[in-house]
Amino acid sequence: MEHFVDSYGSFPFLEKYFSGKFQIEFTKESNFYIYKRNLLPESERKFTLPVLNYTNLLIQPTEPLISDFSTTYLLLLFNNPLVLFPDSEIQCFCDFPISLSFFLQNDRRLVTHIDMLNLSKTKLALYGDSHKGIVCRLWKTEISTEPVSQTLFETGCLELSVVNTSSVRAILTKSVFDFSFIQIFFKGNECKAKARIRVISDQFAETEFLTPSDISETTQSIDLIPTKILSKSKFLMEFGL
Amino acid sequence: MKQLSFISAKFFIELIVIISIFILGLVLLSFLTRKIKFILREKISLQSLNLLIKIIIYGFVVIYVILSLMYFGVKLEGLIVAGGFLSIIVGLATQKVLGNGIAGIFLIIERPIKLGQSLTIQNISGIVEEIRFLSTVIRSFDGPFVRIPNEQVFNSVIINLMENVARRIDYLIDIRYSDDFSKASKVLKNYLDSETNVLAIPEPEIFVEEFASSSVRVHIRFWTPTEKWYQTKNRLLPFLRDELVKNGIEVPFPQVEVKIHNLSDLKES
Repeated sequence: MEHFVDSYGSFPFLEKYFSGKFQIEFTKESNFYIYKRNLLPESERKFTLPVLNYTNLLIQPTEPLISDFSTTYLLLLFNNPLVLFPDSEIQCFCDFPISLSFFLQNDRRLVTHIDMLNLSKTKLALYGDSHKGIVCRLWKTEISTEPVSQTLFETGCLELSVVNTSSVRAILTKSVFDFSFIQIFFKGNECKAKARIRVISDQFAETEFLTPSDISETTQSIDLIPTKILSKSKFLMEFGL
Repeated sequence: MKQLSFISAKFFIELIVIISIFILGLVLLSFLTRKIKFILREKISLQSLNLLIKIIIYGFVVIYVILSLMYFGVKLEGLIVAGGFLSIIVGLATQKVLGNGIAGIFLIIERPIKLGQSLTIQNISGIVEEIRFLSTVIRSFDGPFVRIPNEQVFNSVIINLMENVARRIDYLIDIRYSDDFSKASKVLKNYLDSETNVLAIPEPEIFVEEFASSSVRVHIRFWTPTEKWYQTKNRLLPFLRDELVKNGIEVPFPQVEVKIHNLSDLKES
């Protein structure tokens, strides 16, 4: 039994799932399931899972974590810098990377995270200097006035609220977010999040994730990073805009 | 005689009481220090916590000994004079040990090194396992534990390998004079761009380092997250070379061109 996956969501537990970009398999061997994931055209991951009464496989967009490097910061580099006049506010959109997560749900509705993969390009960048700066996941994007198109299983649409509270003109070429606090909502083959950038001066800004404005009929993704134990949700960009 | 034996018996009992109180004090102190460690474990560093515990224990011992001596009527003025002489003799005899001890105190106060840091001291690279009063213990990257006297640690150049979030990697690759440098640069840049652990910002730099006798020396310079530095540095170089070869750019061997003038004269001789 196999299932073609062309959207995010919950799917009945079967032996095989495939899309044009990945393929996953559960093979039962006595007390275990052998889980095999193939990223097309190459790359394979394989491990064993205990046999429980699995009923569903959840495929959800999650925080843009990278499997081989631990960072919770996302640096959005804008190909078209945004000029902000003093005391102005702009609503705009851009795309952002997501990681794709697989969860197994059992008959008692308990959900277990089993795997995460990145289908979009993973690249790192340094924000600030090598001593006090931070290493972030880099994403080059374009700012748009309309919601941007998304690549299924790779990117989502980020709604940006940019406020210049300073009395000077500022040019926004990049923004850094702590994505531990991102709230991703999905519906069908689309996903979205919202963030605010509050420009304090021409060199400083404060960024944070918010709840998107329209979340009707959408589902919130499961958090991979347990943010409840964290207290500070805002990030201060102090090494330039 | 009877009076003397009475005094010695009284003295003996008092001594036992004082020693018992001392032992009891140490037991209570160990309980107290455990409590202090538990309360302060997240507020101050392990290094400072250990120093505080040591100060409490040694302070208790010193004060208790002085009070006990005073109880038995020992004149401390004489002890101070005797102690002065003794300290000069001990000081001369244990100059090196004291030097290490004082350096140890400065290491704990100034904290140029911390527990768990990866660093290089006197050509020894490893992780700081313990900072003792007289010496520092390093677990070197190739396995063995190395004990370095604190005086040497304090006076040495210390290279901290993990303090910064990013580190640079430099490679030198030779290409032939007949190869196109701009093409080589493009090939190398594309390859570095495909590697996750090579930082995109700061941008990798590729430039001609030198026009050497048999080759053009190309300098490749890029940054990686510190925790990926070692693995990236050891892994990438052969792949960069393969990428160049795949694109028709060869790494040349040293060449010497020999020109002989007046070959006919040479033949005749």
